[in-house]
Amino acid sequence: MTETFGPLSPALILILAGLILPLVKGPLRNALFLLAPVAALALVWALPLGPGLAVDWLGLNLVLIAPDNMARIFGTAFGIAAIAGALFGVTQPSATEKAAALLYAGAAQGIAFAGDLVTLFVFWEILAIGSTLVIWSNGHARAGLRYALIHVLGGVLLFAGISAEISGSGNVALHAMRADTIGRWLMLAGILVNAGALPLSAWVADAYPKASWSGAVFLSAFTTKAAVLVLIRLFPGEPALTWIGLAMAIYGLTYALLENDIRKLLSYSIVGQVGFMVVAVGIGSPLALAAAALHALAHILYKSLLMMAAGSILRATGETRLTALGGLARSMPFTAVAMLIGGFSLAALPLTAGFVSKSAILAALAEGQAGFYWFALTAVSAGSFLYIGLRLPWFALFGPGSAKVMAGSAPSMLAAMGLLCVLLVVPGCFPGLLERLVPEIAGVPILTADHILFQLQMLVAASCIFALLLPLLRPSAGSTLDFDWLWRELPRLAAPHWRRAWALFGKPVVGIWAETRGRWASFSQRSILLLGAAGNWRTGKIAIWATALLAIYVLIAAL
Amino acid sequence: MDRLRRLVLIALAVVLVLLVVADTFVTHHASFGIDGTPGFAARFSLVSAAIAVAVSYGWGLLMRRPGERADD
Repeated sequence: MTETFGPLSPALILILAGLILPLVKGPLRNALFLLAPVAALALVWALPLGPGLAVDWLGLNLVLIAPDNMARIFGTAFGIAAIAGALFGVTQPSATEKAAALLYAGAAQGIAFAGDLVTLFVFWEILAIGSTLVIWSNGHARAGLRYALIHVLGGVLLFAGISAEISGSGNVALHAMRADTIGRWLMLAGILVNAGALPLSAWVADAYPKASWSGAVFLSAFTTKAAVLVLIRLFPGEPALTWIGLAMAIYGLTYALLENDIRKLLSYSIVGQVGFMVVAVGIGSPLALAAAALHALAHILYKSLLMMAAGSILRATGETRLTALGGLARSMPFTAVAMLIGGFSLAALPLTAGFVSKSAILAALAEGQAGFYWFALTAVSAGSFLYIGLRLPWFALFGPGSAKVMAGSAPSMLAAMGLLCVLLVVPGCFPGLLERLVPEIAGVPILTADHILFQLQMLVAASCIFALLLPLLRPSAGSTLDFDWLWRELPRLAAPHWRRAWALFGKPVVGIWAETRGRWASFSQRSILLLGAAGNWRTGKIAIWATALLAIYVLIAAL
Repeated sequence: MDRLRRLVLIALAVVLVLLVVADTFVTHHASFGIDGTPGFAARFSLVSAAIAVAVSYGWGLLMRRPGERADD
């Protein structure tokens, strides 16, 4: 079986389809765009669980396809997201975006099934290229460049960490580890950049809203969740992840509550929800890791749905600012229902998939006796309902104001949203379906009377606070400062001061520089002459230099 | 507070009280003791949501700027 399906990786199908897509036109292009994700998802399930496909390359034992249950969970989530995203965006005229989206989805599948560090890194970089092209295809060159630079930084950190790991252990296999060496910290940092962890979280809300109405759906599904999968594989139980994840959850909540733009709000929400997963990875028990994977699956489904609803609103009204929207429930009822189901699932309303996955995460925290994180994430969960289940629907769909709808949603867009609504509600009503995919959650109490009552009290109490403090939650035009101020605003503000400083100190600096270069040139000249005469050195002198160089080498190796 | 908001708030408060009453009749499976007490979720969520609003509002006063950012 592995021999049959080995070369046919789900990643390969999508990447090849992405490369071929610009060469074909019309219905054939759309057919390719729709069918490649279906074939990839079929392959995710056709690949038998086992050791997978290994090849020897330059003396490295690479495992290109390693199908285990975790790969299947994430492969399923990525597969569904690609199918739903393609269906939603099939009417998108940009061939570049469609091709990039398939490349991007393929890279995510490649990461899900990668069995070694080298394969992982290759797909990691293809993921960055695909996602950057999705943003660029909508014409936002500078935002795309910022996104690319952040991911280059993440890629360099990961590459440095992988190089150190391979040179240290000689092993390229993916295995659980602790961040106990500089190399492993670099690797962890590189992965956390893609996960949207602080202090570089701002790239998510900077880049995702710049994509087209259809491109943002793909962006919301892959990068951050692929990073969560890599954390599960490499750093399960890493203690630092618990507080990093909690910081992400609080950051996402605070910024989402302030945001005026729907797609930025959803981007901040991605960071917050990934924070839940990162905390679970930090706990590291089998239940916690399974819960993190399940929450990633549920999150991909409801965030794709919410991005679709936001994309439909953008396409129909040309607006995504809450201050310019309102009353859309009457003119866009289907989109309104989709937004409510997506939002309620994120807020873990009983009978939705989000309720199952969040229950599993909290059960894992309780099992691990991580009381502080249990109470903190439960509090953040109550706050999440404020922005996604109340503030967003109220000001976009039901509140005052009536945004002008200029174009209706295409049937394919409605079909994609309908598909995701079903996929969120059915497993929520029948959690046993998810238990088959993630058997570790079988013992978690989900649809029990006390648990349902607990969650309903949480949501109704949060609603009371929303009604009471509504004036404080009113959206306002503007932007919220973030860490990206350092690279987006500071250079522009510092430029005039820099010019003044250069006018004052420029001449002396140029003089010092010229003098230094002159001295360096004469030093090099002398060194070359000296080394040329090394054959005549005394043995003692050579021994001293050799010992010094060896000492420096040993010191560097020890570090 | 406008009339509609007051009515909604009263209705929600009534629903919340009913849920708390119902909570006294079910068996709890507490993980940390206090989370098994009847009405804990309601009290905890009221406080948490109020803190979330206060923190984000305060953060907004400090960090919110009028106008779009460059390149946005």
